[in-house]
Amino acid sequence: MSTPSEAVERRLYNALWWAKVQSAGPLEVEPDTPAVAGLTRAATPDGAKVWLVPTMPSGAGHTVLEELGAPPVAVEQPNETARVLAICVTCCWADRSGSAWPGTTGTLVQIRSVYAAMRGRAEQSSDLTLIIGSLRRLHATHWIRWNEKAGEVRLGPRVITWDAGDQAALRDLCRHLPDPPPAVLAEAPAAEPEPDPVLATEEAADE
Amino acid sequence: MSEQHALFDPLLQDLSDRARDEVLAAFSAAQYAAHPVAEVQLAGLRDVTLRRQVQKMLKLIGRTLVHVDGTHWTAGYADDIAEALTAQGWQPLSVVDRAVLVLVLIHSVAIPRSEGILTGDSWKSARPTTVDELRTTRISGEERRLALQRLRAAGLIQLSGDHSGGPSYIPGPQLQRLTPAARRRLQDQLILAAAPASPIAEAIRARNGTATTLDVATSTEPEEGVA
Amino acid sequence: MDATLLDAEAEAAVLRVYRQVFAVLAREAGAMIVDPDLLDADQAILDAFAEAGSDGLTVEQATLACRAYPHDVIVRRFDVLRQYGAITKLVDRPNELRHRAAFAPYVMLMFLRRMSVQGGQAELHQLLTLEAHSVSDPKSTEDDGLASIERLTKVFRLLGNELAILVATSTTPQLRENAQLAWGNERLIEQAETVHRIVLGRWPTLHRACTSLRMSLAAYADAVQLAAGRLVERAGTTRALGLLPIETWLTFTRGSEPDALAAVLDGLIFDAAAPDFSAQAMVEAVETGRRSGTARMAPPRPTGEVEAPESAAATDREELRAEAERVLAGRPTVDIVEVIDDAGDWVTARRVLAELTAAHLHDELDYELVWSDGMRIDPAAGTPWATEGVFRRVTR
Repeated sequence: MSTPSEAVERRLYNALWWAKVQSAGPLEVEPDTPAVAGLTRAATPDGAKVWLVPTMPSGAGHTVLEELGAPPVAVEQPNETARVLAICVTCCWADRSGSAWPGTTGTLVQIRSVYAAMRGRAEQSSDLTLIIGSLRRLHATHWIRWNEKAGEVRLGPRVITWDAGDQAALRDLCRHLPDPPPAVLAEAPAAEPEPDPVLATEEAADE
Repeated sequence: MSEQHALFDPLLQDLSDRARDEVLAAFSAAQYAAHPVAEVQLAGLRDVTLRRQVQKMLKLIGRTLVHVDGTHWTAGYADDIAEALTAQGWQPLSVVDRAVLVLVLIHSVAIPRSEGILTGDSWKSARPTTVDELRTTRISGEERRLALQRLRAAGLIQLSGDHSGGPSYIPGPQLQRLTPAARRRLQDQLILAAAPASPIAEAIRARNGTATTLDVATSTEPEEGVA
Repeated sequence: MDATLLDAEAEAAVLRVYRQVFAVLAREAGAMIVDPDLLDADQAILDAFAEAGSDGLTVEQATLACRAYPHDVIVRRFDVLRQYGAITKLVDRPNELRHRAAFAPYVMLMFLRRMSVQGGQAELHQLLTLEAHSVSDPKSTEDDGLASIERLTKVFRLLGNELAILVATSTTPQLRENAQLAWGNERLIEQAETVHRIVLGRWPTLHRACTSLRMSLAAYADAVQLAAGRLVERAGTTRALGLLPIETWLTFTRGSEPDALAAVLDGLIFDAAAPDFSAQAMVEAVETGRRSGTARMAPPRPTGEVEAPESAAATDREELRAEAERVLAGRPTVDIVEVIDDAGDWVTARRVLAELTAAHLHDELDYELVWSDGMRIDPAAGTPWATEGVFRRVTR
C-alpha cells in the first residue's frame, strides 16, 4: 500500500516522462530506469538500452482523427514517405513469424532496388533524392533508425505501436513488394549512438 | 494497441462503454489533431462531466486542455510540468530551430501588433514572414532551411498561402497549444529580450516579481532524480 | 541708449518673432487655427516666396503660384500671415504690392510638423542637448544655469502631468495611442540629469532648483511606470507586444545571436513531430506508387556509385536544380502542359510537378511555377486534364 505522497510522486514521475516523450519523441534510456505507466519499453537490438514509446488504449490515437475530419500535422510527401517506410519494413523484417521489432539491418542498396522494382521500371536519378528525404523524415520521427554514413537502416521504436492487425497487414504487404537483394553490411556493426535523449534529438536535428 | 493500459485504465474502467469511447475520442482529438477541435463536434468536449475525464487523462501525461476562441479545444503542456522540465534543462528543440521560430513570431506577430493590424489575443497571424526577413540573422542558409523543415513538420510554423515572393511562413497550429500562462510567458520574454530597458519591460518585471512568489506557493515542485 | 529702452527693444524683438512664429497657427487674426489643412496652404505660400527670390511676390503672384489651393483660401492666409508680420511689404510704402516672407515661420512649420509626427520627443531630445551645451559654455552665468534648470523642471512636470492624467482618466486604447509619451523616457531623463549634473557642479548654490528638477524627473518616471504597468496589465497574453515600436523588433532580429533569439523560448516546450503511419496508410501508398510508371528519360548526368552526400540540403538543392534544368532544357520558360505530356503518365507527371514545386519553394533556387486559369483537355494524352501554367527561371 503506497502512501498518498508516494502516489503523488509517482503520478508526477509518469507525467514528466510522458511530457519528455511528447516533446522529444521516443527516448532511449538505461534499462534500470523505473517503469513509466503507459510507456512501452522496447529493448534495443543489442539489449544495452531501452526505448520508451507512448502507447494508447484501443479507441484512442490517430485512428480517431480520420473519422472526425480533424487531420494531424501534415507530413511532407506523405505517400512517398509511407512507401519508403513499407520498403524499410520489407528489408528489415526478416523473420516475419515474429514481431517487426527489433528486426535486422537493411541497406540503402536494398531500399533503392525494391523502390525501383515497386515502380516497375529502372532506377531513376530523382529516386535517390526522394528516398533519402523520406529516410530522414522517418528517422527524425523515430519510425526508423537511418545511418546515413553507412547507408544502413533499422526499424525505429515507433514500430512497436503497430498492433497484431497492423502487423498482419504489413506481412501481407511485404509479400507483395519485390524481394530485396541480400544485404551487404559494412564491416563493424554500427554502434547505436545517442545515449542522451537531449543530445540525440539535437543530433537528429543537426544533420 | 493493448487491451490494458497501465496509465489510463484506472480512470477509464469506471466509465460506461459509450462514455469511454467519447472520452477517448475527445482526448485523441485534443492531443493529435493539428488544429483545435470544435466543442460542438464531440460529446467528450461538450459534456462537462466527460470533459473533466478528458482533462484527468491529459493531466496524467503532463498535459491540460486549452480553450481556444471560446469554442474550440486543444491540449498543451501543463504549466507546472513545462516549468519542471525546463528547470532541469530539458529543451529538445535546437538553438537554431528556436531562433528561427522566434524570428517568425516577431515578423508575423510582434511587428503586426506594433503596427496595430492584428486583432485577437493569440499567436495566430496571417502575416507571412519571408525568407528574406529570416535571412537577416547569423544563421546559414543551410541551417535555416533545415530548421524551417523541422519546424514545419512539428506544426510550429506553416507555409503561408502567399508564395508571390518565394516561400513564406506563418506561425503553425502548435502555437495554439500554449496555455494562457505560456502565451503570456512568450510575450513577456520577447519584450524583455528585445527591449530590456523599456518601461514596458520594467512593468513586466514588476508584475512577475509578485507573480513569482505566488507561483512558488501554489506549484508542486518537481522531485529530484526524474531525469 | 538707457537700459529701459534696450529692454523694450529686446522685448519688441522677441514679440515680433513670437508673432511671426504663431502666425502659422492663427486661423485668422486673433484666433487659433483649427484646420490642419491650412498649414499646407501656409507652407505653399512660404514655399512660393522661397522660389520667388529677392523680388518678392504680390498677392496675385502668390495665388497663382499656389493655384492648387482655392484662390480665396490663399488670399485669406496671405492676409493673416501679413497681419502677424510673417509677410511684410518689400518696401514699406503705401502703393507697394510686392511682399517678402520671414524665415522664422517656416522653421516653426517644420518644427510643428515634426512634433505632430513624433509627439515632440525628438525635439525634446534636441532641446536637452542645447541646454547641456549652453550650461557648459564658459561664458554662461549662474542665472543661465538657473533658467535652464527651471525650464527643464517645467517641461518634465508637464510631461509627467499629462501622462499621469492619461493613466487616471483614459481608456486602455487611448493610453496605448499616447504611449509615445512613455517611449524613450530613459534617454530623456538621462539627458536632463546631465544638465542637472553640470549646473550643480558649476553653481552649487542652485541646489534648491536642482532638487525641483530631480522631483519633476522622478514624477515623470513614476507616471511612465504607472502607464506601462497599466498597459501591461490590460494587454492580455500577446497584446503587450504592440507596445514596443517596430524599430525595436527589427533591431532585435537583426542584431541578435541565435542564442539570444532562442532564449526567448526559455521555459517553453513544444511537441516533437510525431506522424502516424498505420499499416493501412502504407498499403494504400504502395498501391498508388505501384501503378505502372512508364519510364521517363533520366537526365544526362555523370553515373557513379551511391555517393553518400556530405550535405543533405545541398544535394537536395542540386537535385532540384538538375531536375529544373532538365525540364527547361536551356529555355528560360516552359509550358506546364508540355512538361506533363513529356512525362507520359500522371504518376510520373505528378512527381515532376512535385519537384518543380519544391524548386519553386526552395529559397536558394531561382525558379518559379506560375499557374494560370486555363485547362488543356485531351483524351488522347497520358494525362488528359492538365492545368495550364509555366515554369521559369527568375532573378531574385
